[in-house]
Amino acid sequence: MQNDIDSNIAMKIENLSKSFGKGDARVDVISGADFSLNKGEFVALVAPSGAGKTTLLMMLGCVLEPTSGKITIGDEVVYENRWKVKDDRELRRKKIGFIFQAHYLIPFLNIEENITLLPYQNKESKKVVTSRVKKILDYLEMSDKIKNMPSELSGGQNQRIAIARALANEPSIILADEPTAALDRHRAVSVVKLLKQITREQSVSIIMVTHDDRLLPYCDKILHIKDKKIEIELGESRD
Amino acid sequence: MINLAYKDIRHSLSKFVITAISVGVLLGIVIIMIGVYRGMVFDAEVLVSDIKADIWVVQQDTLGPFAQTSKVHEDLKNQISYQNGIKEAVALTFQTFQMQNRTGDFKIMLIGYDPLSHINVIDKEKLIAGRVIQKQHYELVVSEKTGYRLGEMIRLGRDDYKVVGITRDTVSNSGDYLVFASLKDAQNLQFTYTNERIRSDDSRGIRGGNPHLVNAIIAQVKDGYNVEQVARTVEETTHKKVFTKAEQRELLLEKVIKKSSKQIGMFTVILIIVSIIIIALIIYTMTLEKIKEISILKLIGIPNMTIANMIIQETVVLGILAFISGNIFARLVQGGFPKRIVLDIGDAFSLLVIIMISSVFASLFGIYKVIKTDPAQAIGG
Repeated sequence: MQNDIDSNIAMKIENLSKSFGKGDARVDVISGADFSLNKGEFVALVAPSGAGKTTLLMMLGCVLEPTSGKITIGDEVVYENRWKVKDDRELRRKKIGFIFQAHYLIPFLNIEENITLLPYQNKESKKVVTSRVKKILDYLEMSDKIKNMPSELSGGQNQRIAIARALANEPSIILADEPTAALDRHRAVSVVKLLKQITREQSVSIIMVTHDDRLLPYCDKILHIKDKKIEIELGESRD
Repeated sequence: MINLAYKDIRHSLSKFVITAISVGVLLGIVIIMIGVYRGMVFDAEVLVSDIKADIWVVQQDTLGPFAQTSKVHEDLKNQISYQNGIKEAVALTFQTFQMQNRTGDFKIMLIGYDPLSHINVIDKEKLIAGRVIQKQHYELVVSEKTGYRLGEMIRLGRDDYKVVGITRDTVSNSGDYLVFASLKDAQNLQFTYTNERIRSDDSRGIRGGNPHLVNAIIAQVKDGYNVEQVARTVEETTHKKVFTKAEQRELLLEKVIKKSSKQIGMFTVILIIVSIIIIALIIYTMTLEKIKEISILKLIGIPNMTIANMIIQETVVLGILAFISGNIFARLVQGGFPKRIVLDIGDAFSLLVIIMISSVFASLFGIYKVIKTDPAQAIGG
């Protein structure tokens, strides 16, 4: 569905709410949340445990259906009080990339297969996919590992491959759920710098859930969940 | 497109193959059980097929000589020979013996027949060494499985007998090896008592045994005569029970081995059900082991159908590998069984179809688990 929103906006949520249960047992987790994410923006999502970070991330990733509100990705309204897309997985496959706490690469696929799984599922040609994967791995300096299995790489290397997988379907948004949680301080900074670089050079927007305040200076915006709503703080690195 | 099933199997190949072989051994037992049944049917028919007779005449009101004891007088063959449509009639005796060779004890069925008759009691195609019996005394033709050699002397009763011929694949309906002797020798062995027994019987006023009894008379019908009609005529005139060859075969299958067949059939069905349950459990467990990967695949947008295909393909490959290993296992152990195991290719393919359909059905448990898996499991660690 077309929308007359700003062409620079990658994602917009309006009056988004999510509650679980009914009647007296009803629990509101997110209530009337609003924010927009610009193309090429690197945003951190910060909140104490149990505040609704994962719930919000799942709604943004079209995994969990909100109770009400509106979600727009690019110029397509994907949710407005009900799903507007028939196939949520196709939407994820084509427009959203995911990075998890651990790399969560598929252990029985080698690096190349892990990265090309989604593009091939999107029926992209082998020539296009091969060329793109080469570029991504060159960019991440992991080209020499293309035939390795995930079990043969270090944690940091695997997380880079997980980033490559998230980039492989050329998404407009990447949702990163504590992508540095399993890494030491040095590697965590290195990954965050890489993510920031990706937003700048690949025009991809990233929302990164993190508990690590030391990573916030690298972000353009910081989203806080307070009283079930989203408060936006401008980051130090905003251009 | 990446074939996930192939990649997953390749990644854990040894584990997958060992699992398939384990299921295969179970299927091998199913194949053996079917083979045991086929062997029983085969054995039941061997004797009736080998003896080239059209009708079997046995004691009145009995199902002899295989299903029940039957005794008729030897000279009945003369009365039958003169019946209209009868080409030749021959007397036969059947007796089971416990014998011993170099490797141990075993049971045989001793068949006594007139070596001068024209009705073939020994199938010449099964005679692999030596010759048929030509003398009225002290010659035996034995099954090769008895372990006796050509020219070997064997003690039976009071006399020594010489092995003059060796046959292959000759067994009784109960799977005992066949040994052939002349009718006179067989009658002596069956109906002539020891001196001690005769004295003991005399003291009780019992007359001595009649050495001119036999267990059945077989006859061939002349060309152009209806076997069924001739059988009924012989039955009416001799006051004996007469079976045609087809009736005798049916009697063996229906009366003698029917219960055993049912027993084996039940056991086979139970084994097949157990195999299917085990395959279902294995597939379900294999799916559970991959549940994290499945939730990630679902989260990043891989359709259920692609994941379900992976499970179905793995199930089918497991079923085929298990089937192949089951057949290899069955063929390897086949020779170790004391009785005949007939491994029929048709049965094997029927089992393959059953296992394939059941395996795909069994994989539905795994697919159900895939559909129910929440992709959100991948988020939040």
